[in-house]
Amino acid sequence: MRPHIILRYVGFVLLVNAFFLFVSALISALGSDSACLPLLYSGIVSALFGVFPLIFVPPPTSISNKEGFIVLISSWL
Amino acid sequence: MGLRSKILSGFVILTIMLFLAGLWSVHELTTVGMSVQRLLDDNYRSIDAAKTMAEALEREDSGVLLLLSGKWEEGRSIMESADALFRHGFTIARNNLTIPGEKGYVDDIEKKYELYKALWIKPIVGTAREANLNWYFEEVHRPFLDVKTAVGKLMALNDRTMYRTASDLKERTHRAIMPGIVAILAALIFTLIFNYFVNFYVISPIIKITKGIQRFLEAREPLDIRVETKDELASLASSIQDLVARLRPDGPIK
Repeated sequence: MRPHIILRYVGFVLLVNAFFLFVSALISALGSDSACLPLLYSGIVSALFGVFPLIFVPPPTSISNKEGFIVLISSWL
Repeated sequence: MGLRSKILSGFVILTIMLFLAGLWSVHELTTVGMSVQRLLDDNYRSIDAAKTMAEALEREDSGVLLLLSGKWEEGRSIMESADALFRHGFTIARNNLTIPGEKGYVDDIEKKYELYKALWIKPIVGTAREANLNWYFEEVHRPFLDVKTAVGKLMALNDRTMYRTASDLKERTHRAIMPGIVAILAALIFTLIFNYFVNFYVISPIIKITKGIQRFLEAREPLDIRVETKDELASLASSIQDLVARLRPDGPIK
């Protein structure tokens, strides 16, 4: 099992999360909501955590079933 | 991407996280500071004005009683200074309308005070009202209590608002601490991940290369080092493999 591969794919998921957090922050900003800053901050932290493994870990040629399941569970968490 | 860029990116990301957390904490703390100032300016000033008016009313009541007992000069002096004090407090309260509905309370005070003042502004000493306690209790005391109650209501309104604002401040202070805690936890987790990547992609390949060279030198084992990344370490591994391949199996290059 390769933890770095798992981290790479969890990073992808975090990037997607970050995108939707930014969308929520934008909607919050347009609605003059107080949740805008927390959403923006969460989005930025998610994006930073997501992009980092992509910088370090090169794309693998294949991943095992076990790694796939762990990526799935980690994404939910 | 080269090793330098990868390691730099790690530190840059960590710096950005801590900077953002610091920025947010500063913003929240500044808001808390402004709320405290607003609390003092808006509510405390009105409470202070209400206390001034209440004190002035008490003095006026004493003045009325002095006039009833025939002490004209002393009574009138107290009434004039108390009236001026009341007006001063009232002006502050009227110019400090910050709570919804506060204007109604202030207008009520003004109306009731005018009614009360109309009773003692007319001469008392040397008239039928002098030493007439019945007149005091039937005509003067009730309006005095009405004004005092109206002033008390204004004070209570500002008290309640100040309490609510203070409670909000407590929540804001808690919110100001949270980004800092989140940032520290995030930085800790990020550091662990960064450490793992540096170990796996930088340190481990160097150790593999070193062991491979040692095995070649000791037992002439063929060098087979695989580095996953395409950076300086991959170039190093490839160069060393080329170097070893040029060496003759039975000795060094002549």
